[in-house]
Amino acid sequence: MFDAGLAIHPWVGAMGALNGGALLAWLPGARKDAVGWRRAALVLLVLAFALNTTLLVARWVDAGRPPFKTLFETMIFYPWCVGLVTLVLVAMHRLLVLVPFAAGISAFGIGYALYRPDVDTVLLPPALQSGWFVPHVVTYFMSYAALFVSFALAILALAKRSRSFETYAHGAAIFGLCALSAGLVMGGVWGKFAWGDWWGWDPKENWALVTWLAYMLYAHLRLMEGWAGRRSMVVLVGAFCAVVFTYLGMNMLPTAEQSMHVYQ
Amino acid sequence: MTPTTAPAPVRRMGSASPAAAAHDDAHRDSPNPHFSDPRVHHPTIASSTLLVGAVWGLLVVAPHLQRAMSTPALDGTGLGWTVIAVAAALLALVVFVARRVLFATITSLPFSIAMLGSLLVATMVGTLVLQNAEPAQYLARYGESGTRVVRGLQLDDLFHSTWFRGLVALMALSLSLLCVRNKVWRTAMWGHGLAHGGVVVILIGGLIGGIGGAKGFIDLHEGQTASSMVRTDGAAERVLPLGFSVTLEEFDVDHYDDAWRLFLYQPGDSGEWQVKRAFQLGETDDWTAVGGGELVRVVAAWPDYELRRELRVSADGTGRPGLELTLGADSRPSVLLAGASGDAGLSLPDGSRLRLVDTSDELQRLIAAPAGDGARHVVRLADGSELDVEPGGTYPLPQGARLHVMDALPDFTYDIASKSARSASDEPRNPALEVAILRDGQDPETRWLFAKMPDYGSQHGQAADALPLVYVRENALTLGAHERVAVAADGLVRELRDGRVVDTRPLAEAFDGLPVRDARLLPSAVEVTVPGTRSERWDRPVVELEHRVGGGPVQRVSISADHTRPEGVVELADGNSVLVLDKRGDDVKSFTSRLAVTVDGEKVHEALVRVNEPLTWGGFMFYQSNYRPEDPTYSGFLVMRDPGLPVVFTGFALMVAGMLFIAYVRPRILARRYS
Repeated sequence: MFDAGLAIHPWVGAMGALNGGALLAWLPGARKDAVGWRRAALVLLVLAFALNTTLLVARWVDAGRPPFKTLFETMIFYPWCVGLVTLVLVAMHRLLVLVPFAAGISAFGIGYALYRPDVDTVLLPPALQSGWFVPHVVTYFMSYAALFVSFALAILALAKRSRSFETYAHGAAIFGLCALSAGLVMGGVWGKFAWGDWWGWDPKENWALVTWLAYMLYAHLRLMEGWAGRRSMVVLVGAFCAVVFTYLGMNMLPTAEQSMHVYQ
Repeated sequence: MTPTTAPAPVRRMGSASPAAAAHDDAHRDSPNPHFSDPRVHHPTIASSTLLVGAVWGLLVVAPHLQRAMSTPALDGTGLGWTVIAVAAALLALVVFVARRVLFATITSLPFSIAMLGSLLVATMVGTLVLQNAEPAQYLARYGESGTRVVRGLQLDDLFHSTWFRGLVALMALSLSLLCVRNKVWRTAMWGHGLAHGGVVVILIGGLIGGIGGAKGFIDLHEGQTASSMVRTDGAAERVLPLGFSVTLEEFDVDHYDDAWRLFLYQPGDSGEWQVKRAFQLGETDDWTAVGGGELVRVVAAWPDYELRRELRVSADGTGRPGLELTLGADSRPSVLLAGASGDAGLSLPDGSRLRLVDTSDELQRLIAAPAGDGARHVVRLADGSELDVEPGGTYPLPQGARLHVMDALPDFTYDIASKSARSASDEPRNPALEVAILRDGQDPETRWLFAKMPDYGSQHGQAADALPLVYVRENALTLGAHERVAVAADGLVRELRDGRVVDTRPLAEAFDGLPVRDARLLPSAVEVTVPGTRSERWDRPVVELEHRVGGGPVQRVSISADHTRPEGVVELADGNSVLVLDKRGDDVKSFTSRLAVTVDGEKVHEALVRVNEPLTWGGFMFYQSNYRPEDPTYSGFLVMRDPGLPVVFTGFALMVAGMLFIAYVRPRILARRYS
């Protein structure tokens, strides 16, 4: 006999610890002259990302299916997406300041995952056995990761009154919105082939729409006179709440039991 | 609606960086007369929201008005129609007079914001208020007046309400006019045209689907054919002919087969047992740490567990004669042991009974014996004394306890489906006695005693101070109407009818014409009971485990899938964990229907329909969508006709392409133009 679920958990814990370490290393690194600490935090985040990649591959091989089925699994995948977006932005724009945000949300996600772990490899029900499963989920999670980064940058822009953070926040939000649209559309196509309808007014679908409308609202509002700067950053921060609710808040809805999408 | 005289906005780049500037929308960096012509109306977010709100109000009231107009009092007077005509004319007049203002408003940026915001709020409300629920649920949740409000505003089916559809239509109108106004055919505006037009295309596709589409259901059993579907979309015509026929040729439910697990349960925060870990029964028999320092390994696993009797040649020659033969399609031999009082013989396929005796003298005694009356049940106590018991009786035990015999089964088996014990046959293959030990002031202690496993209780977790009881079943050996008796001494088999020998043959020829194979006599044999599996189907698995704490002594236990039996749960040494053998819940891997399409009696197409793999034929899509575990040849199909689907998918592609164009292509075009 062998462990059907938990074998992965010590490694998940290690990944959480690396992210936690990155966050801690950033605390002294926040001082202007503490470049070493900031670099250490980045190195820890890179290590966490590498371990995260390994875990995802291992879980995929082990489960014999994409590891995106349960809340636990997405809580391992989401830090990977955030890590990827963060590291790309660090490489492109030297946005080292994103490291504590990425490490923080990753540590939080992993902590939640370990608090509510999968004890077993959940088998894939027929509805999820589709070629759209991976592109739909990956697109959505990359979007959620970019939107988290835009949220973090919007907070930085508000806190530091920095125009350049606004620019980066906007760039990340637009990328996230494009991915959000693509993910939504893929979900529609998948839904048509799985259930017969490309839109079913399911609570999770509706919240995906609310999220999409919220970012659409941001994209249009910031074109209004006087909204381009700080006010649109406030909108970005608010819009991310819709992301969080769509991802985790579905169980709170009175209509949740009518949904086919809610994570168990 | 409310003209304002606000000055034209001054153009200002939203951000210092060229990247962000490039993201800016057409509303600011295109030479748009809107921003410089003071004669043109300049809507604000407030005025736009007011317009959307006014439209919403009209749409909410409209169905109520319509209902009021069609009351019997007004019906036939023509008054209803007059009012509607007047209202429509007034509305048309207002629209005509204010057409410039209206056009400027609904193609404006503030209007798009008001529209997006309204839809956002509406969608949110649609998830917060119960949708299409039972009337009682609304009353329970919102009370009487709350329910009236919910119904009056059509919030109970919000997404199909007049007002929601009206708002979506208004958005489609706004987006369409916007495309015209923004001259989206110019290169720099392609993205805007695609993104905004794409949404319109999606909505048009949805409208086409709504008008020309159909949704229904087909229920089929294997071999059945349907040429029409039963509509479930509320259409007046309930049955819709397909124009061809579909036949369900085959339906299969495929299950995941690795579903048996050993689950480790521990008490959760609130005290109830929770699954903490799950162990797969794999090929490996390595020690596995299950927590609390405990190591467990699987020694053997029997998918379809049974206890089998086998004969072994007695090593020291002190055994008794034995007979082995294989019946019918069995893969294992059945066995008989001479002189075993518990042996009532074997049933042969021709209805006769086969027995084994030592000598022909014994056979004669059998023939001469009077007819017996079944079995004698004996319970042997620890001190060697014996109780003759009958089901239903109560007998004294030492220390003031009493023994109540509840049931005696000749061939004990446990039926997992009904979770109850029963007798698999009348043959005493696995005799068992269900008893209750009664002590004053204590709950009765119920247990099963197995004649063939006298030490069963001590193996399976009964407390050490429990009374050791041994069950002995003695079967009266009486001859029936048709018997075969093998005599070990001469190796001959006598066939008896009504107590008279009618035929005598050597063992090798004794069963000619019967499906009996490999009959052989063992001069000196002993009987052993060994665990085995009846088949490779995981129907009633039993797993044998070894467990130990650290380097401590190894304990061997068997664990059964039946948790109501004593061996169904293994308690671990930490006193806080138990191991349970169980099957995973949601284990359907796939539903597969083989559908054949027939046109004019000729089979023209065949397809395997699975979830995610519908069959498309003749404008219809057939979805695998229902099954009934208790009715395995049934398969249910959702049937959809959606002529708008290609339009919708085109709209999807246009919208995403447009957004990507706006975000990543247009900035380059503008950057080149400005440089």
